[in-house]
Parts: sequence; structure tokens; C-alpha cells
Amino acid sequence: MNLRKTITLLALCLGLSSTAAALKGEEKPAEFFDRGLAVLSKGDLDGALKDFMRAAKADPENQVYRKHVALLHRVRQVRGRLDATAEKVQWDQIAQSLRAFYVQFEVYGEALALDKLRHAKLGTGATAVDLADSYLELNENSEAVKVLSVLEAPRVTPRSQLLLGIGLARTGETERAKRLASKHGRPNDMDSRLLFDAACLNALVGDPQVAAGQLISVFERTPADLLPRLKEYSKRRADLASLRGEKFAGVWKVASRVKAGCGGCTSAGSGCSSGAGACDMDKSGGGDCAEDK
Amino acid sequence: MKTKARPRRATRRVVQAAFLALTVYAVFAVGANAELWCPFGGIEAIYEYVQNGSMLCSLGVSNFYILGALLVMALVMRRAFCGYMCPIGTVSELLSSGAGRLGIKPRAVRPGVDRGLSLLKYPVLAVILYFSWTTAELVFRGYDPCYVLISRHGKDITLWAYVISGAIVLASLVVVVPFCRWLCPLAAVLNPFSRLGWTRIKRHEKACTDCKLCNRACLMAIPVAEVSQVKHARCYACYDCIEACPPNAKGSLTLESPRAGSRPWSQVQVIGVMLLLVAMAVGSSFAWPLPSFVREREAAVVNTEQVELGILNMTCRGKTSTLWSLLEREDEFAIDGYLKLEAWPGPGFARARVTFDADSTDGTRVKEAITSPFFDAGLSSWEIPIFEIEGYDPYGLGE
Repeated sequence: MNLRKTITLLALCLGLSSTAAALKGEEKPAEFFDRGLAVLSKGDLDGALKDFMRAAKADPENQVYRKHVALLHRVRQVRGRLDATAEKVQWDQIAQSLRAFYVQFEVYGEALALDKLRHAKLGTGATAVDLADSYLELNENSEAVKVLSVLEAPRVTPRSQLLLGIGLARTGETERAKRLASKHGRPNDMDSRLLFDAACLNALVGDPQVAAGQLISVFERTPADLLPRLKEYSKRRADLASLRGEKFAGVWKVASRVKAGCGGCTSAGSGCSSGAGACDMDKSGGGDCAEDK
Repeated sequence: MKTKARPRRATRRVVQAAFLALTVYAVFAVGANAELWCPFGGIEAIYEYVQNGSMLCSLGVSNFYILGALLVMALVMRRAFCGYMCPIGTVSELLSSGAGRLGIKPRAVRPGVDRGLSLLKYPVLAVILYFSWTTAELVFRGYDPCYVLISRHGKDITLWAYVISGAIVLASLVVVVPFCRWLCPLAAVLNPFSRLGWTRIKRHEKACTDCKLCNRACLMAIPVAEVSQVKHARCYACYDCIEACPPNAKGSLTLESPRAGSRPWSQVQVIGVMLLLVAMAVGSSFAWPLPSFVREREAAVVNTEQVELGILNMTCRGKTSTLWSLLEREDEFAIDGYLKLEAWPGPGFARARVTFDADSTDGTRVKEAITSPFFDAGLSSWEIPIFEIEGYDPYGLGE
């Protein structure tokens, strides 16, 4: 058999096998995984778990798939415990962990439902801030303003004021938002979440230069493995639209200054909200390790 | 002119080449963690191990065994390790001899300067030990020319490691084994033991013709012809001086024990003892594999049980510390009562032994604690342990 015939035969075999696979509707592990993420974003934890398990079984070597299976299992356990827990402090701890999961995976509908429950049950400044945060994520800005406007000292915090400012700016009350920005928009706090909110507010009230500086600071103190997701989230965030131009191109090129450590855990989640996932530089101690030797 | 045959030097070269080839093969072909067999690692880790029962980074107790073998070796036949086994010594010697063949003559260093420079290794050792012991990290690893080789350019290597390696290469072309003579921190550790070395080169004055060829042959610039016994700590027991003796002075230099009239040691004996000690160190590492990470929670011990685990991704001390913190978690997977972790971190499924209070927990809970995701309230995020346990498949994923 000459070379041309051999190549033709091989090409034919390849074409036939791929057509057969397409007709059978075979999905790749990555497709299962992406579908799981999509299902999860709608709040269907059981459906997402099924897809993650399919992905993990189809590609047993993929640790990301396995980790998502482990996390979903765990979160379903935690969700089950929420209803069974009567003691308030413990209930709130469980609720906070659930909320963090919803926020990390941008399941804001579920986060909002939980925040309403938490605020009704506990009615603290912290629960009000979380509730307003979820409203803002879902662009229900008037609701967020309503929740935060009724807060009184000592439940008023810099973050509640920043979120109130964002809500006001989004609903057109720019002057009130500016006043809040001038009072709370330059926090000295090293809390990345506070800085991120300040950046959003400053960008909204027409001070993109300050916002850019604050966003750079947040990016620099975010671990390298979480930074791409935070940047992607930040780019999607409408509040920061004024930083998308050429003038601020450098902001989006900032690299993490958090040194990798020898830890044995990975942060979960596909998205970061309000700087969640960012950590203080001094928490990242430890030298590089020679794990790959 | 016919070159004088040098069978002993050739034998030494074969041994050197064999150890270098073994190192290169283990590192590049097998991908082994050669750092586990670095004797200097044992020195760096000893303080932390005595204090906390934990090795530094990815070192193991094999470092102690190999260090012990070298110290015994130094007590018996001085710095034979440097002359026969050390990869840096081998490369340095090869460079010197290669340069010689290219017509680059080695520069003689005046004895006073040589003595002064040879003291440099002690501050080098002191600085390395001070920072390694106080930080419990291998802080100088990124600058280590030997680590460049055995880590296959590990991710913590700095540019300085290559600068230092380059400097050693260049210096080795014009001076014989400069790093080994002046800077090697391991030599600084071996020297006090080597000083007490049992065997020594003896010069038999009746047979000696005082030709001083031995002085010229000595890599370490020891004035062999000026002494009756070479008790110098830096002696390699390499036989180059013995081999340099002209035929008419045959028998004027021998390697012997201090006893008068003792039988000279042949080079084969030296190599045999060296290989035996190394084999004993390697064998001990497997026969008595002391854990390289030990952590214990003090509590009244009533009824303990143990579970042996093969854990994936427990590659170094940092990761094993994280594993310990998972065993000490405070959520519903908390393990009450007495707890002890003994671990042998390393690549692949590394071994760990967990001892727990059987009255309050069991092996399954230990496994759950190690692998279940947890909520970090401080960071407000879910963390997923990177560890997997061999044969433990709680989610029915199967492989």
C-alpha cells in the first residue's frame, strides 16, 4: 500500500470515529464541569454535584473536578445543618459559611434569600451590610439603600457607608454619594474588601484616579491564583466601567505581590465578590517550597 | 615521553564518576528527591529536629543517616568523601584537569594566603546555620550551587545560584578545587572530625628521597614532604601523593593507622569502607525510617489507636504543617482528645501515621478531617484541602 492510500485510510478512520462520537452525543469532562458551574449559578446544588461527579469520573486525574465534588458535598451537608441548628450564634456561623459559598460562586439569588433570613432573625449591622451587598449584586439598588439608610450608630460602619454610597450613586443620588465618598472613600484600612468597595464608589462618583489606585492595591494583595478571577469579576462590574479605558490599562496588568507559601489548601470558587478571596500580605508567610522536586 | 601510569588516580576517577553519574541519573532520569541524601541538609535540619521533631522543608531523616556516615568516615579516613563522592569536588577536579590539558596552568596560591582563605568556610557555615536554625527554613537553598543540580533548577533557585556556580567553574579553571578548599560549609563541619582521623599518610624518612613530588601532587596543598605524618584535616585520602612517589622512593608514603608497624591501607580498603558506610546509612534510612515530622497534642492518653495513611500532596514540611492544622480543625470534623501525627513527607503518596484517642474518634473521622473542605471565617472563604488519601473514596468517584 502506498503512502497516499495509507493517509487517506487513516483520515477516513479519524473522520468516522469523530462522527460516531458526535452522533452518540459524548460530552467531554470539561463540558460536564462547565455545565455544573452553570447549574450551580442558578442555585441547583444537587444538579451541579451530579455534573461535577460526571466530570470527575470521566477525568479522574483532574483535581479541580474532584475538589468541586468535595466542596459541593460539604456545602450540602452544611445547608442541611442550618435548619437543624437552633442556637443563634452557631446558626449564624453556618449561615455565614453558606453565604460565603454562594458569593464565591456568584449564586446571588441564594445569597439574597439567606441574607433576608439572617437579617430577619438577627437584625445586626453585619447582616444589614450583607443583605445590602446581595441586593447590590443583583442590581436591586433601591432595596440596598432602604436597608442601609435605616442603620443607626453604632451599627453604621465604613463598609455600610460605602455600600450606601454605591447604592445612592446607582440610583442617581450622586450628591449624597459624593458626600459619602469624600467622607469614607479613602479608607486607611488594609481590608481589601473595604478598598474594593471604596474603588467602586470613587469610580461611580467620578474619581477614577483614586479608584484605580485602590483597585491596584487590592490586586496586589490578592493571591496569584485568585487574581485572574477577581480581575474578571472587576471587569464585569459596571461600577468600574470608567477604568476600562486605555488610560487605566495598567490597572488590569497589576500582578499579585502575595508570595506563594507552602500551604496545603486551595481557595474555592469561581468568582470573587467585593474583593473576597483577597488576603492581607502578612497572612501569606512561609517560604517557597520544593514540592515539585 | 610516556606518561606515568596512575592506576590509583584512575580508580578514584571511576568512583567519582560513578557517584556523579548516580546523582545525575537519580535526579534527571528517576526524578528523585536527591536533597534527601544531602549530608549538609542534616546539619541544617538538626536544630529544628531536636527542638520540634520536624525536618526542614522536604528533607528527611536520611539526611541524618548520611551525615552520620560521613562523620564516621571522617573519623576513619579524613575527608575521603570529598575526594571520592562529592559531585562538586568531582566537577571541580575535572575542570582543573581539563584546563590543564588546554594549557591553562593552575595558579599556585601562597601557603599563607591559602591558610587565610581556607578559614572563610567557617563564617560561611556560621551564617548558613544561624539563618537556617533561627528561621527553620533552608534560606540559602536558592543560592546553593549543588541545589541547582539536584533540584533540576528548582522553583526557589535564584540567579545568584548560577552566578556562584559560574564563579566556581571559572575559579576551578585556574585554581585547584577552590570551593572545596576555601568555601565549602560541609568541609567546615567535617574538618574537626577529620582532624581526629584514625588513618593518616605516613612518610617513612628512610625510603623518602625528598623529591617533593608529593607536595606538588596534593590537591589540598598539604606539604606532605615536610611532615612525618599527615594529620591535616583537609587530607582527602586520595592516594595522589603516594602515587606521585618515584620508583626509587617506593614505600616512602603509606596510609596507615597510628599504631607503629601497622599494615598500610590499600585504596581498595578505603573505597570498601566508604561504600560500606554509605550502604549502612542508606540501609538504616529504610530499616529505621524515623518520621521527619512529628506533632503531638497533649492530652490524657487513655486508649489509643493508630491509622497508617498514604497521603498525596504531603510533599514537604509546610504542607505537613497544614495537614496537622486540618487534624486540629474546630468544625464538626474536630478530633477530640489525644492526637499525634508522625509523617514522612515526600513526592507521591507519602506516609503518615496518626495516633488518636479511640474512645472519642476513629480512623474514618481522621480521614474526613484531612480531606473535607472547611470554612475559613477569617478570609470568609471555603478552603479545599489538597490532600488525598490512598484508597479513601468518600464520594464514590472510583479510579
